[in-house]
Amino acid sequence: MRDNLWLRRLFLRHPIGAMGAALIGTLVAVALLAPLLAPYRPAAQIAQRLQPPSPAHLLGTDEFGRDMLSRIIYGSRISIFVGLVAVGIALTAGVAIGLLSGYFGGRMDHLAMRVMDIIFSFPALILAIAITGILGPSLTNATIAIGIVYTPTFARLARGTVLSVLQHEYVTAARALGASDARIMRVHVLPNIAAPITVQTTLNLSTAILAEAALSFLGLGTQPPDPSWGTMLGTGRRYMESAPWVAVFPGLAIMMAVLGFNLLGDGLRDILDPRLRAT
Amino acid sequence: MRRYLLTRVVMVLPTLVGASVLIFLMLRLLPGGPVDVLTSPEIALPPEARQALEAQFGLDVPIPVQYVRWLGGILRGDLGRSIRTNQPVLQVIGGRLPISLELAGLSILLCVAAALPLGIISAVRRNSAFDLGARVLGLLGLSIPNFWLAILLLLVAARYFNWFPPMTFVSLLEDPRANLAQMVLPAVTLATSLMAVVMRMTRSSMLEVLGQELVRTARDKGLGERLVVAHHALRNALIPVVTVIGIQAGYLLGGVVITEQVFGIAGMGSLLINGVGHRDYPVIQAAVLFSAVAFVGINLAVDMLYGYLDPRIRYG
Repeated sequence: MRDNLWLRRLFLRHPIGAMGAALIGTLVAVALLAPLLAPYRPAAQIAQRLQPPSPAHLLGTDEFGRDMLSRIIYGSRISIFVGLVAVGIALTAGVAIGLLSGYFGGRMDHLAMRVMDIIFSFPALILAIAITGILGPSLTNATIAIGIVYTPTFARLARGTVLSVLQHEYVTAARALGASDARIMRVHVLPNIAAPITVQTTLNLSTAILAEAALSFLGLGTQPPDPSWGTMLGTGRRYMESAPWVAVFPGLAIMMAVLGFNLLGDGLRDILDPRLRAT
Repeated sequence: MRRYLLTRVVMVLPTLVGASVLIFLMLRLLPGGPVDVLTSPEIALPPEARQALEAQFGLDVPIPVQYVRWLGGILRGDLGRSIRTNQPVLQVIGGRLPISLELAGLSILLCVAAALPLGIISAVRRNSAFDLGARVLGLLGLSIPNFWLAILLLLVAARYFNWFPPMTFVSLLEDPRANLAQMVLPAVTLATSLMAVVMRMTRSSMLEVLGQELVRTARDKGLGERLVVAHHALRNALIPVVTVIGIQAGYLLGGVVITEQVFGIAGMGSLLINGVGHRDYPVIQAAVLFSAVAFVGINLAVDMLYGYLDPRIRYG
């Protein structure tokens, strides 16, 4: 009963974030429970090709006679996997670079930031296309590419926050008391950069999922027969005039996932940092 | 201020040189060269033939030498020749760039024409039904994948209007009407997400300015609400909006790639995708470097616009 009340209050106070959390919760549940929820195996060619939605195949079948619903359910796993791993790469590398170069400053800082500037001087998707194109099209390479492309965002954010935290007197006090660099970073700096980084991570999950879908759509990411939403959309569009469901439903799934993370990120921003409440 | 701008321009150069090194190294150090793509893997290429091919593409000298040659070529206006078609890359880009520029320009026009009024009305009538509708629209626009939107637009056009994108491209100068008919759906596709971002920014920026002293003063002076909004608030609110449009340029350049691919437009984006498919080094290098130059250039231009829009900004 108490839990219920708490939930209702959260919903009332932060409707946007709560809506996002609900969407993402559903997405994660679907991904985890995919084998239980999906009526068929995602690669099983079990029916006639390009059948419209029916009770047997709620979202129809694709060009190989595979059940669209099952493929979309399993596709959530790929999207979440790529999102988490790619953002994980960007987050780990970016925060480490930003934290160290902001904290120690000097020549290393200068060099690291110039490198970040260089990566930043490419439009993200174009750089990701070039990297996957060169490494060879695959899910792993797309994930790595997305991770690299978003590293500077985290590095800059972490560095900026570190610099502002270091201005505070409590850091000077800690230093005067003989605290080591590692301790100051752990106790004083990290907790302070956690909030903006959390918001950025959530928002980046949405862009990473979108980027994976885009790369797969262009044939550079997930390879068939693996059920990535982007790949389904990319191959399905050839049949869209006779079988629109093949192109409509995977796109809808992408949009819901992206919307979920966007809403959650907006909501988290309101909760964690009221000053940032803007766009 | 002039000094700041000068430093800013000078600072751009090392970044772009760094970008050119990065793209060059990436292509050279990773496995799978253009010779492998040109020749079938089943037939073992005699070493002499491979050497001859590498010499023809200038791949037989050390990488730093290749880089210097390439950079020197760029400075002379020579971007090399496409490995696949043997056409000069500069000539290929010359044919495709105007198409992409037109598409990008149209999208920005559409975006601004829709986003500014929506954002302003949304802010002025805060919490009204209009505001709510515009905000929901903004969130949807932000989340809709542009390649999916492109497909949906094509689907609707084909199903309900029996319209299919023409196979051959007509230039704007040849036949403006046919050209615009071709460009309208791709431009709407690109403008949608852009519009969502710009509208959200306009709204929040207007809200902030409307609460400020200068607006209250203007109202107290007895100026009409319309004048206050149009003259006092808007000008100040536009500053962050301009930045956001600049930041979105990166998205726009990426979006062009996908949109061109879906609508079959032969611009810079499809050039890049084709180049990647064939490992056509000179083409990939040129296309990616070009996007970096455009991106950095737009951001520089936005920085300069600041000074014009807000004389209070003194570049330090």
